Amino acid sequence: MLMAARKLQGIGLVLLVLLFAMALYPVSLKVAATRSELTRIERKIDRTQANIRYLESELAVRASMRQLEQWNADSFGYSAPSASQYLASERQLASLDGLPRARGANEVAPVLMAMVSPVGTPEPAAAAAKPAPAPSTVKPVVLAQAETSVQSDSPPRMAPTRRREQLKMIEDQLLAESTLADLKRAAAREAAGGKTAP
Amino acid sequence: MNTLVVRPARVRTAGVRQQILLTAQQRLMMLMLLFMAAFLLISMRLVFFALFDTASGSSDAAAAFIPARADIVDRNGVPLARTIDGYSIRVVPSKLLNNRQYLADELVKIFPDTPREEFLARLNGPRPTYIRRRALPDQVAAVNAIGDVGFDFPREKERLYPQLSLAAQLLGFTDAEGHGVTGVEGSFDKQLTDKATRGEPLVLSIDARVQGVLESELGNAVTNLEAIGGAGIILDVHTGEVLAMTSLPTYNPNKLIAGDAAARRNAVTYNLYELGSTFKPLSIGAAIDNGVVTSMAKRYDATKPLAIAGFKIRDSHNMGRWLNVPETLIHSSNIVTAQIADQLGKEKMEALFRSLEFNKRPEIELKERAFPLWPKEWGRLSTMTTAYGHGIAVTPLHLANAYAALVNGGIWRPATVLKLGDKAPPQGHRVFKASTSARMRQLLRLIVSDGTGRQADAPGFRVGGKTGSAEKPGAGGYRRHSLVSTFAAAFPMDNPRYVILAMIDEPKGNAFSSGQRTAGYTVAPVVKKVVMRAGPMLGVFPDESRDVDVSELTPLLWKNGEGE
Repeated sequence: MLMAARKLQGIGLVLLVLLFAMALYPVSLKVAATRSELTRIERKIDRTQANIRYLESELAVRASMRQLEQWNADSFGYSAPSASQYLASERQLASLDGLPRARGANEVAPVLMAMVSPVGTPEPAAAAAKPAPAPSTVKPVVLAQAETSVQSDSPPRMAPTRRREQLKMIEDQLLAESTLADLKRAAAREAAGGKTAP
Repeated sequence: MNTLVVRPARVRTAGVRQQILLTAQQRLMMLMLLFMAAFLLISMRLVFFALFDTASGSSDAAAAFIPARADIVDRNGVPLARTIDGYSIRVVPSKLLNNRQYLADELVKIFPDTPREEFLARLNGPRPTYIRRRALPDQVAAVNAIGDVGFDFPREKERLYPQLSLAAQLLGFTDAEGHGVTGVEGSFDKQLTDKATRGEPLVLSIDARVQGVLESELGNAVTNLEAIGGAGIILDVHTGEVLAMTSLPTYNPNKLIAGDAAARRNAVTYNLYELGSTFKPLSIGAAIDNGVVTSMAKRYDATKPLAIAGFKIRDSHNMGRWLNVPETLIHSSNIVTAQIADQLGKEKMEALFRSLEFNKRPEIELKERAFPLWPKEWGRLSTMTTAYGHGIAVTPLHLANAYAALVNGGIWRPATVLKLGDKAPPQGHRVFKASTSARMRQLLRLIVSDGTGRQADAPGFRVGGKTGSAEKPGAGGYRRHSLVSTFAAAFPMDNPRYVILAMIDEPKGNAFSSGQRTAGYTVAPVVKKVVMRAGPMLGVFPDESRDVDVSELTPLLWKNGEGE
């Protein structure tokens, strides 16, 4: 009896090991399954990469220098910027002339200097005859009046309206109408959202 | 007749029988052990697979990712050549089901550029052949839609040059087996196909945008002037990197046509030209270097042609007065240059050309490099003619390299088509003194601001350079009306960074060049346009408030009789 039990103990141990092995087998299966799935995904990545390469090549062909050059010659007509279009520093940008000024932004007439020409020489006299009508178009007199009125009136009230005007002018010039409309719509939507939320 | 059969007598004893039984059992045992061993082996292998199965996925995936031939990219990573899985269309005539005539008609509809007879010949041929090696996906779909089992569409590795003819001669092309033949493809073939290195793209020093600009501007000029060809190169003066290199006429490496051998030649490294007056700054530089020209104001007789050894050295437009050094360069006087070279002497002149490596093939990684035509024997005459670029024929790359040495402070460096990146530029060797280089910068700038190169003066870019219009040698002497017009320049001259050389082979004088063939009217405008467009791409921005200081030289120039 004891002998039999002892013998069975051996078999029991084997059985136990077998049982555990069987219990663990699904783990191994799972690992194998995951691994094969990984391989599949890797293959897919490779395929996609090859595809990306192919598409990139196609894009590169379509956007080749030759093609761009031809498009430029046919329809765009861009040319290289000239030296005067490059600015080296902020100071140069600030002193840049030629940008259209906002209407009414700096409606200060330029200070005009009277030109003193030596009397007796005939040439400067002829030259002076020409610019004569120019000062009449500019209105230094109006400026003088405006300034006196500003001084007599209350200047702080004047400033904000003028500033608003300037801003409006700049807005009009810088932002396209569609952009402005977009901004307004977005603002309206935000405002409406803000009302409904609380 | 009686046959006598003798039965073998049973002589075995019981002991022997047992012996046999034992051997049988032993053999069975062995067999069983063998089976068990096999079983064990297989199960071990299975367990091994289950536990350490790493080889299945990743290794071949990594192999698939490495292209069969490495990509070639420019310095900014723009692909110039890459290998893709292309489509090809193949026909197996024995498998064809439809009527051949009908199939040929259908194929002609898809590929109108090939005659019907050719398709018919292929369809009736004895063995499978290609209908198209490089087919577009649309064409493949169309052929597939015919619906014959005789067609198949194997995907093949093919070399694609996305930028078409851009830098075609420099890149080269591959043969049907995928081996490089010319250009970079040829000279770097081993590196491009080696399994260890082909995963990384080969980075060239070329900038595709600059290359595009140079090609289009030079191409326009060559077309407008009805020239037979042209060449252009842009070189970094401090490192020797080639930023652009073009040769015209050109070809499309994606679609090779037999018989365009002339178009496949790289004129920059493989064609020899007598480059004419562009040599003058080099010889004057050597004269300043060696102390032959001590003062810029020293005058030389240019009133009459110089007769030497039965040969007369003339100026193309005689000034009829004595010229100083800046005037010599500005008016490109052969007579004065020859006199200065004569004073310099034959040994010094030869030493100059040797140190500029005009006696060897140009130094670059390409295989197609020409050996210069070096004077057979250096006499007094060849010293004088080579000083203004006659009697010696070099490649445009030689000259560009020499100009780089002339303006960069005097150090000659070999050219390279590979991007240096962080690597130190090659050591090089000194050809001119730094002070000579500084003086030459002033002189070259003067030629553009006041001399023959006026049309190359891109505003704000401080271009300096020298024109050269050399008559081409023909049967029985030089031909007066076939010129090689060259302009070798550097910019910005106050701190030179790039050398640009453009050359037009046999331009015709027409409306585009005011009826002139000379370099000042044909190539100089090309250089101006290229500099204006490509300068900002190369990091050189125009600035009209800067320039090289030439104030010490301007008083020496004769201007309408009042400059004195």
